[in-house]
Amino acid sequence: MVGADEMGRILEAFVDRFNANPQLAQMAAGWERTILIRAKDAGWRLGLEVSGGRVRFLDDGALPASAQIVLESESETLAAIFRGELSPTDPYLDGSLVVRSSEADMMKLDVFTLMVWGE
Amino acid sequence: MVSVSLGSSRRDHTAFLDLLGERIEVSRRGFDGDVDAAERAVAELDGRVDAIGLGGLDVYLYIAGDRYVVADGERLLRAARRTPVVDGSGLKRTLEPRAVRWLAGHGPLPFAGLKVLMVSALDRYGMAVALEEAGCRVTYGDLMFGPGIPYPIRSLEELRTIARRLAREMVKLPIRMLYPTGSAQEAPPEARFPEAYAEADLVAGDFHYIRRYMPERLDGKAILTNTTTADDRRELRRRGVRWLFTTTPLVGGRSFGTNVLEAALIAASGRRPEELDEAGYESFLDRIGYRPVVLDLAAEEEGADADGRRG
Repeated sequence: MVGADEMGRILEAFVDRFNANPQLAQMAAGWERTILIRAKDAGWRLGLEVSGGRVRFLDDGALPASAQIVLESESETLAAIFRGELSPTDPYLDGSLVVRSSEADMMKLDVFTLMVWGE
Repeated sequence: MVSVSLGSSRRDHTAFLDLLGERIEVSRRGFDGDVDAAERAVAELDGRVDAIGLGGLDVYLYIAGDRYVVADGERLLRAARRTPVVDGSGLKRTLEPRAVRWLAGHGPLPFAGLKVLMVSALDRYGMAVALEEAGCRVTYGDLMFGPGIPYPIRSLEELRTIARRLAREMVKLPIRMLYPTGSAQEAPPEARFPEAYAEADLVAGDFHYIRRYMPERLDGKAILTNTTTADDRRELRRRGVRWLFTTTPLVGGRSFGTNVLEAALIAASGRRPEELDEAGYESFLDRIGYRPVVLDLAAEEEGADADGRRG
């Protein structure tokens, strides 16, 4: 199980990598979304805010009341996705990752996570 | 042979195709985007027809030497155990570059320096390469018109880089998330990234994508696509399109999808799909006297739906 502190560090590393990539900044331009990330087993809630082509980490206290995108899974799965060890596609298709969002937002998030980590 | 399509059932028809000395009955069955129903149909047809074509989706994407398999397409492919099943991508890989080369040499527009918007290139990489080789300045809209990301891809090299990162995962998604199927093919167009259409002299790629996102006005532009219906041509003419280039071959004056022709070729030749290579497709295209269709929509009378050849 991955705890909230460790997941926070993983998300911050993801944010740094995203924000260091000017191509991703251009791709995310105009996409203003809050993403809530919830671990079913560990109980924590963390988040990301995408705005102005940049991403910001949100800890539990900074989370808004609602988010346009909600990701819910086991903490190990979420950690693996944001570490770039696991594509979100497989857990989404086998049902172990629940994504509550529009299909358009889900596609964009899929693209961004794949672009962050590369081949 | 039967073409099982994820497109609209409203375009179902049966026709005869004279090919390589054989008369082949071609039946098209649309399943309105329902992959499960299409899979059942393929299983039911297995062993009862000479060949099955898959329409409305690509099973294989060939990008810069790599082959990606679309999961829903593979399901349909595997539903038949005895009858050969083809998606037309083998023929398309040969036919579309050939169409571009013909247009660059004999078409009404100079291709060198032509500004091109390819709404989707990952499904027709051969066309993309041929356009660049002809000297066109191509913008690739795969991210714009697929996931709706405002990022025009400006070179083949960048397209390849992005494809290596995304394609392997994206092909696992349900086909309805990747491509307009069923009723989505008939929904009224909703303009997306109209500035990309506006800056292009030529808009190229799959017609369902072009149509779905085209703006109200396309004055003086050319369209290079696979195939269109009479209604499509009327709509393009109304929006001001000047030239329409279609790559889908005419056989005996009729237009057939590449999946239909590839399946018919299998049925007529008695060969397995894996026995056909690029040279085999080139030879086939030579034998049917292939060249793309060039229509001057400005010269067509309003309401005309002729598929005549020009250029």
